[in-house]
Amino acid sequence: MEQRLADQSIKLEKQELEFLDGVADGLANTDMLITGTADSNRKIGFADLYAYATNPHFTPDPALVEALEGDVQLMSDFQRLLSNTAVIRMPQVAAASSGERTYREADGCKIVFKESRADPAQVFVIIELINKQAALPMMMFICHPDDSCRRVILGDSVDGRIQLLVDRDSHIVRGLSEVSTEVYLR
Amino acid sequence: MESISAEEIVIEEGKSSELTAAFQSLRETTVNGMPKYGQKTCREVARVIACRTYAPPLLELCHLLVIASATDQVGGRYENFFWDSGPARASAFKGYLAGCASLPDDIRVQSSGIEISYGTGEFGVTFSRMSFLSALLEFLVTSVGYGNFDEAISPLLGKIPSQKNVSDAANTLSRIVYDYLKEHLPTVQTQRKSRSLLTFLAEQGNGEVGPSTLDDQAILGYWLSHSADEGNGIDAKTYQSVFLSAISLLRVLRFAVERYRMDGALPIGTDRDAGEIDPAKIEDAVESIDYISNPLERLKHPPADRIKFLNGREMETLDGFIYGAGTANDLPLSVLRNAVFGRAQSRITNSIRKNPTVDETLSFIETATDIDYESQIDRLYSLVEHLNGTMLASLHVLIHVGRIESASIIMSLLPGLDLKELAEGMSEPDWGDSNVVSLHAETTASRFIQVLQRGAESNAELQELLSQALKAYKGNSRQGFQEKDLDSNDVINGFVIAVDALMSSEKELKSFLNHSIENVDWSRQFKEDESIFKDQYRLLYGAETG
Repeated sequence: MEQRLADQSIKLEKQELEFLDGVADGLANTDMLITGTADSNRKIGFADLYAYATNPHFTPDPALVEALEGDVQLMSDFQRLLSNTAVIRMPQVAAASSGERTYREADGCKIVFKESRADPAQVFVIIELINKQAALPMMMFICHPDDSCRRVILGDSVDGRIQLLVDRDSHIVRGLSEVSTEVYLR
Repeated sequence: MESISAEEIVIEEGKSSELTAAFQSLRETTVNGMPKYGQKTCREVARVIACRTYAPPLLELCHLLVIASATDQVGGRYENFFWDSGPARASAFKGYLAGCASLPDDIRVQSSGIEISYGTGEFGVTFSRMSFLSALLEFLVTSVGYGNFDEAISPLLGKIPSQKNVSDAANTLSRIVYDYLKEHLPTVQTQRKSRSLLTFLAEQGNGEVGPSTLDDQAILGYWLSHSADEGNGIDAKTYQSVFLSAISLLRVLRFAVERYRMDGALPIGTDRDAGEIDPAKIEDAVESIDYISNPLERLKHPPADRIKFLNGREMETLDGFIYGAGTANDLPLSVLRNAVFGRAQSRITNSIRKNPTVDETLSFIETATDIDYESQIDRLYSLVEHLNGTMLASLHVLIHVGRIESASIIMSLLPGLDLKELAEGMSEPDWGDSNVVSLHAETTASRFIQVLQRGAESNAELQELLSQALKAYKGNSRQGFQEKDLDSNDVINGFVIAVDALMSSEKELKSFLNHSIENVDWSRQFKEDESIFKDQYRLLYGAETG
């Protein structure tokens, strides 16, 4: 009668023993990686980071927004991603400049502030592309020297210009006025 | 004996949890509401990382990055190709490439993949391989970071690089992954535990090893003799980790015996005489050892998690007995030891994080075991009853909403049911035309459901089952079993997905109770084990008595 597989045993040479050791290690680690769950150390997936940088309709998980304000590596990665994928990049203003500015400009784009006549506490932020044929951006990212970035979803254009009405002391006005920030449009 | 420090525990847990979190993120990545990477693909990535055979795939990935960069004629970027092409399937990549206006002459799209010519040679990547490479890329940018990755491969973007550039970038990536895994893949010390478990078995059996030599006695013997060893790796300290390693090793030994039976040798590599073991052969072996998925996982995720099939305690208990492939039947005592004493040790380990005094630790060791074998077995019998009731209630739901999946539950609960009579009751006209076969099958299914919905009057046995199903449904007040829940497609899909998981869990648990539990004096066994385990806990946690 044939012996059952479970009842069979084999005599192993040193090398074969080592080979099976390697297989056991590899299998245990594969199982650990594919079934394990991290309770407290949830990692932000890059797909979410990419969607946040490129898709204005993507609603980020609160954990992603939180991580972009505290996770140093993720913040740095995100800024690199913006730099690689944004349509327009407005770098920091030259070192000679200081304090606040009432406009920003870069190749192909200009951002100006205009005080609201109806309410002096509010400001129009006007984004204008030099090339009127170019597709208008749908998102703006304002990035600070500490790598923290804020996303602003832009509205529809009027006569080729995008106009935002915001509080004078909003993070948008403060961020755009600050010479040390970088601005990305996509 | 040196006791384990709370700091050591935290460091070891932190190492693997970072990598585990990266893989969890990979598995949970979705696009348009569906998983971006298939389970098989994720497992393949896990395998090359776990076996450290990532270098050849990284070279393939670098070639694919050259292709991806060429698809972006404006910026030469690769991101769009991987993250704007939808779920990582061969058809999606094929479709994305078909939509690209034009590619450089050096890149040619073929029917099964894409070829790139470097002048000094050519390289091809099939569409089906792109899913795996895409998942590998997702893992890399999530784990080592996008910045590190992007910098390493930047020479590949824009103009078609030389083959040497590609090879250099792959080597740089390999070094980055090597450094990352040095920090995050379980240490050599941890891996040594499976090595010494196998060596221990070989020593015990005078060089002979096999599935039958890895028994309950060997597992306990190994834990008792190795858990307190200095420098043997922290993981061998817990019975649970030794037990889980043993389950993994059991699968390896089944593979080894099978290979010996087929080939008369193990496939260790090409150069046996030089004493070399090819890592790729190790990976091949790991690939050929089937993954046993835990059916309970399906209940923990959407949409099945919208229904409370099992509460937290039931799930935890069941989790400790479902290992597939008859494992629990082969190691019944080890499974019980793990459920009872493994859990107790885990409580002790948690308590020592608070730096208790020796007296407090001793006192906690005395009370850490909160259940004996007989009570644990009673709990399992109750679980079988609960699973049976849940399957009946689920049967009622599926019949109510007209789902043919109800037939699987009927066959499971009434395996001897004579369906002939039922089939006769569903006799149909002679369709004659083979073109209506699928319509015919669909009609048979819907008529079968109609028979069930009318109460299966023609079959007393089935009628009784349906009556029990209704009773079980009405008696179940848990989330998902209310009338209002049945209006949700998500909930119904949850029931459909859960059916197989419930049936296979019930079958495995019943098999364990029927074949492995009877004819043992569990009270005496518990007393013997309790004394052994408590002695070992005292030894391990620096609170030796006497």
